[in-house]
Amino acid sequence: MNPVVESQGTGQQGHQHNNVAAPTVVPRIDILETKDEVQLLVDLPAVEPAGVQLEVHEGELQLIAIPANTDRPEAKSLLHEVKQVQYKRHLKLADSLDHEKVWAEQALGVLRIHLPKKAEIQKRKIEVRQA
Amino acid sequence: MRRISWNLLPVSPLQSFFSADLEQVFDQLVQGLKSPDPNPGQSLRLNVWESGQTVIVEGDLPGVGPENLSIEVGPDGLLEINAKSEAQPLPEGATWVRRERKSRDWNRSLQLPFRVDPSKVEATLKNGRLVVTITKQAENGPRRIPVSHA
Repeated sequence: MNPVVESQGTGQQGHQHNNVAAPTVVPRIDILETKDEVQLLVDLPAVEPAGVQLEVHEGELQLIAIPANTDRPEAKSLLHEVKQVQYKRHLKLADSLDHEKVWAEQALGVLRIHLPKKAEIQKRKIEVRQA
Repeated sequence: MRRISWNLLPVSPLQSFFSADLEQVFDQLVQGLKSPDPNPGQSLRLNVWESGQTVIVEGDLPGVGPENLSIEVGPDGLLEINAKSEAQPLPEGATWVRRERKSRDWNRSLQLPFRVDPSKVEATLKNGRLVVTITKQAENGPRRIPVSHA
């Protein structure tokens, strides 16, 4: 079973939704699974740790991230290809994950979210009995 | 190496029509029609600001460390940026469940419309955003020649 699945109504990854303030972008993610946990890697360039809002609510992981505003009103814009956006993505977590122990770290503009597996899942060992 | 040279000319209405995502899709379609690129990467999107004698170039490079970033600036104003994101090694026994993040290489050549002083270029990387600060070369403007009486 997939440990993390898309919630309804979040759209496709990389898709932009027009918004009056800043367009919302669904950030692309990589997901890997180890023996003890599931990790999500999310590109969040120009986002300070304080700009990341990460919540788990009723089995759903909600990520909202707002990059630092680097508009320079005092300067003349010669080229403007990097738009001011906000990142948003909702993911439904499997019950096998410990929703209370989710944590995250950030480096080089990449957020790594750790989703530990429940203890009973980690220790799952098949006992072999003698017939 | 794939190099895209941009002159800082006003974009046409057609260019401005394309959103960032549509440009990505278009890039992929065009790439599919071309012969295989020996050094595939994606064009780095940039913002360029001018303030007096200073020019600031910004772009997003998530996952790139300083050791994997090359920036070259010539006195003629040609700026070249090549970056490669650090490989994400899988922990032992781990498996990928999903991979959405695509090419992790970026490159871009940009012709700035003025000469620059290559000795006065600084670059910083913070939270995956690159900021390059460039100083224009002082112009040798017309000099008034004093004429004395013979």
